[in-house]
Amino acid sequence: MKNTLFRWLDNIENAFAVLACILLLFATFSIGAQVISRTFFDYPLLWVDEVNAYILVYLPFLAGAWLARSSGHIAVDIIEGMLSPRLRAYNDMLVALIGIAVSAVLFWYGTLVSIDHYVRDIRSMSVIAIPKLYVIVIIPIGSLLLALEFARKLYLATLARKKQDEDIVITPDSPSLFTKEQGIKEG
Amino acid sequence: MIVDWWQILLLIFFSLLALMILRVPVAFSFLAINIVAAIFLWGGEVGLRQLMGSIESSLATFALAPIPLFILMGEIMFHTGIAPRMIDTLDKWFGKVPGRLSLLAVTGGTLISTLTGSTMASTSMLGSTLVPEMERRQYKNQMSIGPILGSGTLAALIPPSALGVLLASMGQISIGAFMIAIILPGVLMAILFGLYIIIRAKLQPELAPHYDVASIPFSEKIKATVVYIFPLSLIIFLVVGLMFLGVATPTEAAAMGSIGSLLLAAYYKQLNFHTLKLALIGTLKISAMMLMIIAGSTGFSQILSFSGATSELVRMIASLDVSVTLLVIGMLLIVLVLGSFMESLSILMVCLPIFIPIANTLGIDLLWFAAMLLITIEIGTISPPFGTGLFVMKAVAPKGVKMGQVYAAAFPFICLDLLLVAIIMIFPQIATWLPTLMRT
Repeated sequence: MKNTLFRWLDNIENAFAVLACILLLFATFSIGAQVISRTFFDYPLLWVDEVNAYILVYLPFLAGAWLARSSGHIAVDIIEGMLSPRLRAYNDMLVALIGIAVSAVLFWYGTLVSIDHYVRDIRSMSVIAIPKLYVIVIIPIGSLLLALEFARKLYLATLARKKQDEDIVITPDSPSLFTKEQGIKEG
Repeated sequence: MIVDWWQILLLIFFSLLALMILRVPVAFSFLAINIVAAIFLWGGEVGLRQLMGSIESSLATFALAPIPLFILMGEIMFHTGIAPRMIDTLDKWFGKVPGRLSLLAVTGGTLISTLTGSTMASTSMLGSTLVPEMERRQYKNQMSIGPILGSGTLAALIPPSALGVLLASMGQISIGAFMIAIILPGVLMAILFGLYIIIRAKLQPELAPHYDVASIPFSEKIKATVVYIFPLSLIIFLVVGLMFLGVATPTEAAAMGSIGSLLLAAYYKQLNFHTLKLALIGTLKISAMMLMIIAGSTGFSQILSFSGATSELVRMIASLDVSVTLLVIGMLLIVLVLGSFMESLSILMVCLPIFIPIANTLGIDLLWFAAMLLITIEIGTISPPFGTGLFVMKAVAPKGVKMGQVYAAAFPFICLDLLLVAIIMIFPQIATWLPTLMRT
C-alpha cells in the first residue's frame, strides 16, 4: 500500500519534471525562432515573450516536488555536522512540517485565487489574451505535490527516528547505523 | 500595540535567519516568512491572496528568462565534453612559461566562463581536466587548487551569468548593460590571477616545477584551433555580440547561445539523447531551485517595503554623517561576512531589498555597485568554511588533500578578488565604460 503510494508520487513527480524539460526546450527554440523571424522576415511572433514569461512560473512549480525528493532545494548547512543522528531526525521532521505547512497554504490560497480567476474570466492584457487561470493554476497543483512530498519526508524521518530507538535497544554499544542521508533518502 | 519599524525589521530578519539555520530550504524559509507576514501585515485572507499574485508576477517576467537559458548553455557544454578539448588546444599553444598549468587554468577558466555562468560547473570542469596533469607534474596545492578555485569564480563575471541576470533584474538595472559591464572586471580578474601566478612561480619554482613541453608542429596547433576554438567565438558572438549590437535582448541572446551550443555539440558528434537529457535535468535542477527562491524572495522584498522598514532604514542610513564610499564598503563587508556561511543566491535575496533602495537614495551608480557586489558574492563561493566552490574542488582534488589545504590555497585568490573590488571602487570606469558604447 505504502510502496504503491510512493511509487505513484515518484511517477507523477517524474512526469512533471519531464514536462518541465520539454518546456525548457520549447522556450529555447521559440525564443530563437522569434529572433530569426523578427530580424530576417520583419515578422515578430507576438506570443513568444508572453508565453515564455508563463513558462517561468511553470518551471519551479512543475519541478519543485521532484527537486524536494532529492533534497535539491538549497539550504544553509551550518548545523548539519553538529547534529547527532537523533537530533538530525527531529530536525528533518521539523523541516518537513514547515514544508507541509507552507505548501498547504500555497495550495489552498492558490486554489481560491484560481477559482476566482476562472469565475471572473481574467485574461492577460495582450494580443493573445490568455486566461490567467492557465498560469496561476500551476501554483496550487505544484504546491499540492510539494505538500505530498514533504509528507513523505516527514514519514521517512519519523521512521528513521523510530528505528534509532529500536537499534539502540538491540545493540546498545554499536555505533549509529544511520548515515546522515537517512530520512531524506529517495523513496 | 504600536510596533516600530525596526522591531518588524529585526523580527523578520531574525526569523528568516533562524529558519535557514534550522535547515529549512531557502525558498521555503522566504515563503514561510511571507505567509506569516501576509497574515499580520497584509490583513489575513486578503494578504494571502495577494501573496499568490506576488508569486505569479515575480516569476512571469520575461527578463528573467535568460536564467534557465544561460544555465542550459553551460550544462550542454559540461555534458558534451567541449571544455576538455578546448583546454587541450590551449595547452598546445602554451610554451615554457612559469606556472604553465596554473596559467592554463586561468586561460581555460576565462574561456569556459564565456560559455557557462555557473561557478560550480566551471570549477568542476577545470578541476577534472587539469588536476590529474598538475598532480603528475608535481604541482603543489597553492598552484593547482588555488588557480582553479579562482578561475571558477570568473564564470559569474563574464557573460553569460545567471546570477548577474538576477542581480540586474532585482536591482532594476538594464540586464543587457550589466552583462556588458561585467566583462572588463572579469578580464581584469583573469589578468590579476595570471600576474600573481607568474610572480609566485618565479619566486618559488618548487611549487610549480618546470617540465619539458613536447614541441607541437605549427600546422597541428592551427588545426586544433580551427576545430576547437574558432567555433566558440561563434557562441561568444551569439551571446555578447548580439546584445552589444542591440540586435537581441539578453533573453534572446541567451536562447541563441543555447541553440549555438546545441549545434556545436552536434558538430562534435556529442549530441545524443543521453547528453541532452543530462543537460536538461541539470538545467532544471538549478533553474527550478533559483526560480523557487525568486518566488519567495520577491514577496519578501514587497513585505519589507510595505511595513515601512525599507524606507525608514534607508532614511536613517541616508541621514548618517558618513561618506558614500564608507557605506558602500560597509554593504560589501556585510556580503563578505554572509558569504562565509551562505550561498550566493540567498545572500543576494536577503541583501538586495535593502541595498538597492539605499544605493538609489544615495545616488550610487548601480552598474558600478552591482559589479562590485557580484564579485564580493563570488568571493563567498571560495571563502571558508562553507563556500560551495571549495566543496566542489575538494571532490575533484587529488586524494589525501585536506579541507584545510583547500582553504589555504584559496586564500591568495580571495585577496586578489578583494584587490579587484578595490580597483573598481577607485576606477568605476572599469565597470561603467563598456556599457556606454552599446547600441540600444
